[in-house]
Amino acid sequence: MNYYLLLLPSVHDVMKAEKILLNAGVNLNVIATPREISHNCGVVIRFESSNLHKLLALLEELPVEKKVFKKVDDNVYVEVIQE
Amino acid sequence: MIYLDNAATSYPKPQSVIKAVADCLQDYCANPGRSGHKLAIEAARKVFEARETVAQFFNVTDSRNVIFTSNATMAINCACAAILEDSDHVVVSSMEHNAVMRPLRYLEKEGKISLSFIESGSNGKITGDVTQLLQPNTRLVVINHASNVNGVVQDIASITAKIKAYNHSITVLIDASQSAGVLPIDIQKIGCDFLAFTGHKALYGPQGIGGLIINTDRPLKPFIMGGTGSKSESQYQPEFLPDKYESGTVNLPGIVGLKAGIEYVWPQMEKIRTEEMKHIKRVIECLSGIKGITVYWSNSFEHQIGVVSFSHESISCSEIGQRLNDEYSICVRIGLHCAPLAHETIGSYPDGTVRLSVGAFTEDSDIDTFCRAIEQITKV
Repeated sequence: MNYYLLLLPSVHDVMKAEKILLNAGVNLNVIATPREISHNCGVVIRFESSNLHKLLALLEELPVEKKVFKKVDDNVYVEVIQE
Repeated sequence: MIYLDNAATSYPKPQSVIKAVADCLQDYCANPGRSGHKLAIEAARKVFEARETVAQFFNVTDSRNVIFTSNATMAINCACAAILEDSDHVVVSSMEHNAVMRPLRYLEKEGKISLSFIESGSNGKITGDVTQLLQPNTRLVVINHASNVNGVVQDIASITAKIKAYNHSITVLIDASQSAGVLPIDIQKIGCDFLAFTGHKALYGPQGIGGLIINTDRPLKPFIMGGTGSKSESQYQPEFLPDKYESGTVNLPGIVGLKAGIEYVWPQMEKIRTEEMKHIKRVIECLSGIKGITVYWSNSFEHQIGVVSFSHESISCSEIGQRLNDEYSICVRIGLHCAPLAHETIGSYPDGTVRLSVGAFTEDSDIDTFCRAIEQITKV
């Protein structure tokens, strides 16, 4: 299974996104933000990569910057998308 | 013991509030938003849920506009600091608490702002036309929703509408310290820019938690700055809400207690208000029938909450308060109630009053005992 990480500006935004996504039945975990991604916010949302488009559509109502990363190697992440 | 000091702090607290605070301290009292471990995430989730509950309670569209503070005083200071600039003019009601007056008087004394007061009747009800006081440099109008001294309720929606119709850019701050949890408050209907509330009065939460609702898009300056758990790489305060106004570790036990308090009071607000007004009517009837007593209230049950003040022509309020405590185990608050301006307005300054304030747990028998006690104390 491949996973992506969703980075949002604040913990409040992560919690809001978690609520929206869980209500829509999207499987996810809130995990500590890997330092390689950002010092921006302490937590990110980890989700199955196949849910990317569904997730972004669901989170349209959350008017904040969203960045999605995938892990390509140990301690190496690349940005998949930025909205 | 009979507790009639709910305007200071409601007591007792609902069991659900006690349990929520205890569960937090015992089960998940980590630092919300500061770490990525399970407990910190759970703590952050609780803060988020509470913010959503507060937002729904006051009909705030986006819960990030709910800022947790330690009390209404901090919320009021935060709002003043967010918008006031040098040479601004500020208008206040004549029933304001020192939570409003002291920050504003400080700025006035420093020569930074000027102040005007909206005229009120001797019952504290606003009678003056606020728009007559507005000047080109008026930045802020502060209105006390319900008085902590005599319980008078102001028509905040119509006053705000008048101000906004006159000049939409004037900021309106409502102090809802005494009214939140007693009267329905829909910030969209009121149309104010800021609403300050506290958790430990009629929302039945613990002390040390309150909040500021921001209902404006205008640029605001932060008040307290520091760590937010976000943008940790930057030495500058984040610009996004709620982090911009919420630095330092939040009061997690207070926040979950506030949520539980709102959940306790919200479904039964009408029922509690009906009971409280029944008690207050009886208190006013009893006091009005005693020779030598002056009762301070709104003179209209429609514009009244469960707070009433009184004084006696020859027995000081401190003696009455002491005897109620010592001889009858009745808790009331005497003096000026941190609101000298309001006491000046209703004519009870500087001697002050005895204040009685009922709550959700006040019983008929409490009022019976109070009325008998006051009759005996004032018997010559």
